[in-house]
Amino acid sequence: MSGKSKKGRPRSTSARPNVTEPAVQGGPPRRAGLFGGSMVSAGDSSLPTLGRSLGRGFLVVLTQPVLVVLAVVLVAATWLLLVALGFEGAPGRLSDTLAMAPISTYFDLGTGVSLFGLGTSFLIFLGMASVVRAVLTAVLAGLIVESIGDGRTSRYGVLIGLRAVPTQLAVQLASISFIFIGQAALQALGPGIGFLGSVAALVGGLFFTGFAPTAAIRQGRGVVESLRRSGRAAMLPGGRHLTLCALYFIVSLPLALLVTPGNEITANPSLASWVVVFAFNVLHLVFMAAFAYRWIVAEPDVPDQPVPRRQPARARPARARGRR
Amino acid sequence: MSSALVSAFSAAPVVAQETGAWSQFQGGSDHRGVLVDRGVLVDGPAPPYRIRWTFPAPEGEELSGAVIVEDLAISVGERAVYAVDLATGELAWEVPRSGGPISTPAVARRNRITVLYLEGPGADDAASPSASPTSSPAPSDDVDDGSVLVALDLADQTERWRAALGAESRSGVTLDADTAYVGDEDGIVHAIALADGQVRWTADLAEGSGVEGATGATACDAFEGGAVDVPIGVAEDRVIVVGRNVDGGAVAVGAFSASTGDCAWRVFPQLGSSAISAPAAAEGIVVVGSADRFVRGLEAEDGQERWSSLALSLFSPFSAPAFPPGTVYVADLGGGLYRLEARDGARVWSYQFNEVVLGSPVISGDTVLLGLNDGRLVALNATSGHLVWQAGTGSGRLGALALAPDAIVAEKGGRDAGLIAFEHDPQGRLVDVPSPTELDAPTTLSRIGLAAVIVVAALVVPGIFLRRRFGATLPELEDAGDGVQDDVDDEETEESDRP
Repeated sequence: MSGKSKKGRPRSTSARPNVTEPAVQGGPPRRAGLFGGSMVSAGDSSLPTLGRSLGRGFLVVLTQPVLVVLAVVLVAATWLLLVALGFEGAPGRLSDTLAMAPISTYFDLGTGVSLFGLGTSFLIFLGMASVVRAVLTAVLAGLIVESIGDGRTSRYGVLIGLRAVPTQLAVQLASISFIFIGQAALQALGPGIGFLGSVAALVGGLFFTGFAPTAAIRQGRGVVESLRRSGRAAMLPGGRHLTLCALYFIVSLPLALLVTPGNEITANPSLASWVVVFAFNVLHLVFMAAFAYRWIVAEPDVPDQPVPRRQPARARPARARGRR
Repeated sequence: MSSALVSAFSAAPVVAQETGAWSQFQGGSDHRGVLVDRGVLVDGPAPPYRIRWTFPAPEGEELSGAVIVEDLAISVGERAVYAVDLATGELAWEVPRSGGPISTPAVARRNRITVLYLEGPGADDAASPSASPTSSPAPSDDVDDGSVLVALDLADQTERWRAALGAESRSGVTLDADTAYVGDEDGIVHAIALADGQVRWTADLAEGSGVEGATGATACDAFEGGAVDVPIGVAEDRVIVVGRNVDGGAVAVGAFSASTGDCAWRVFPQLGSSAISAPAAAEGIVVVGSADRFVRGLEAEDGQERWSSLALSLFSPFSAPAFPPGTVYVADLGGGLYRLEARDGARVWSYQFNEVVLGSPVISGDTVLLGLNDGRLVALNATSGHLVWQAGTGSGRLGALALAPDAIVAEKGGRDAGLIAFEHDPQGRLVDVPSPTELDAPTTLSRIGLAAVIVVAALVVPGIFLRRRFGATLPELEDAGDGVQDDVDDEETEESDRP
């Protein structure tokens, strides 16, 4: 791939001297109800803590100037390209240019509707944007994975990232589905519960697919298997993965919209707008790195097969006693 | 002013306007937003402007958009109809009105000049579905169930007749030839004879026969119960009616024969929203803007869509496109103003004001005028699409505009509600400001560059220290490498080792 010597490189399973031990030893982890208890910490977990994950995410991105510069260049190029295409919109939406799916899918949908309205042109744009985004996100994921593992970024990271393109494309398409499900929930259930439903669809989408690009890069498996493993990793108990996803959602949508100046429609965003937009897109890479780091740490404990749902064994005697 | 445009305007006789004044909503029954005198387009004042006078609404209530006739600006308020001297801004006369929704009046010039306005509901006795001649301009006593169309003689302000509609009306009055058209909240269009106030015909937009729209019966059902609360347009023997069902989320555009009231066609541009602009009609097409952000040009003959053009926002029902010869100007709710080719809807230019727009653009020579919700009156060059003049009038929207040869009368909302008249200011200065949506490459690229330096420096410099502190690789993973392929190989080995 890159000419690097792979032989003799220790397996990632044996290369985690400081990583917390898996919660379940000697067998596949047991799933504990919906989301596997991923909103609360169960103490010992295969997944690192949120603070550690985000800290490592910052460390990975900030120590690699290439990633920071890439974020800046990609966002600026996106804006200039969109303006050349005739886009007229508020620059505030640029804050989510490099967001993880399905947040980024909102950016693509909004941009497409703004450019073309709802119609055939919009669908063509959405298809092309999904492909471009899949390639860019996969390459960024490759660079991040390389940075986490080797402490540097190189062409090698780009090449290993490309293997995640099909998976990332599938994630993009799934994200569109999540958004439509969310919109359907909004329509069906009204602005109260429906809004929560639409948010849940987004957070749930990120929850299950967030590890997929890293899984595809690290393990080189097919699209379906990478998505399955991403879901299984997300369900590992005690990792507060849902909390991380919710935090990312809050940072990406409400906070970004609130903080970013430039809600007026213009082709010439202010200096402050650009600074905040660039910073937010670097933050997206930080979260992407945090997700990748979590996967790499937990990778050995991600089960190969679906985990059977835990039977309510402990509850049964209690009910039985109650009947007596 | 562009001489080509002037000649184009001057050469183009305009039907459907014969009063020689700004006689109704958007100047005429076709809502073209231009000033016409004896069938020929006339320029209003050229920019720059200055305020000639302000007329505060008595008791602070809001006023309707003004109509202009005989050097008077006439506007409808909650409790009275006001006539203001166009030269001085002084109140010439007022006629009591018995409340009801405020909507734009109309003036008809026949043997004598008649002012028509809607009033009520709001009084005690039951309404009668017929016209009744009266001579007193006292507030109506037959408007408790619905609105009443009142005809007033301009000369002595005596009431000529009044016609009860049976339902509340917000559409304002449209005048064409010898008939006045109003719509009501029950979705009924009323055609009323100007001479005596007798109802010529009524038509229900929800039950109209004729050609259905492409969206068919579903849209028709969704529109059931809709209201005609948007100014009605008339052009080429077609009465163009826009209806909205706010509860059901549906809009309908229909065309009725001006002579018989028979429905020629109906279309339903969009389901799921009740936002749609008032229509403008000329040159064989009807132009409306709808909630899906498309401005549509419909064939006046059969309602088929000739073209559509995408805007950035939806459209206010208080706004109509302006339609000088060959060109359509339309303002969306978000503050975008667009110049479109009338033949194919191609966008010539757009200007983004980033301010809510509830009014309609009007055309004065080579200048496009528009009132904004923040109180600004803006003037754009019709050819370049650049802003040439603007001025604020304080907080509160600037809504409907009315043109006279030497003045612009704007409806002012908010705390200082009333009317404001502008006139040409020979001492004023013009500007030339392109739309903020036009890319200023040097400015934008320099900002991008400076912002990139700031962000990269602010993030990478700490990163260098972090790298020195923690090293290039994460401590817990420093032996991990990227794990790529090794893991696959290992797992394949593990799988092959499994029993």
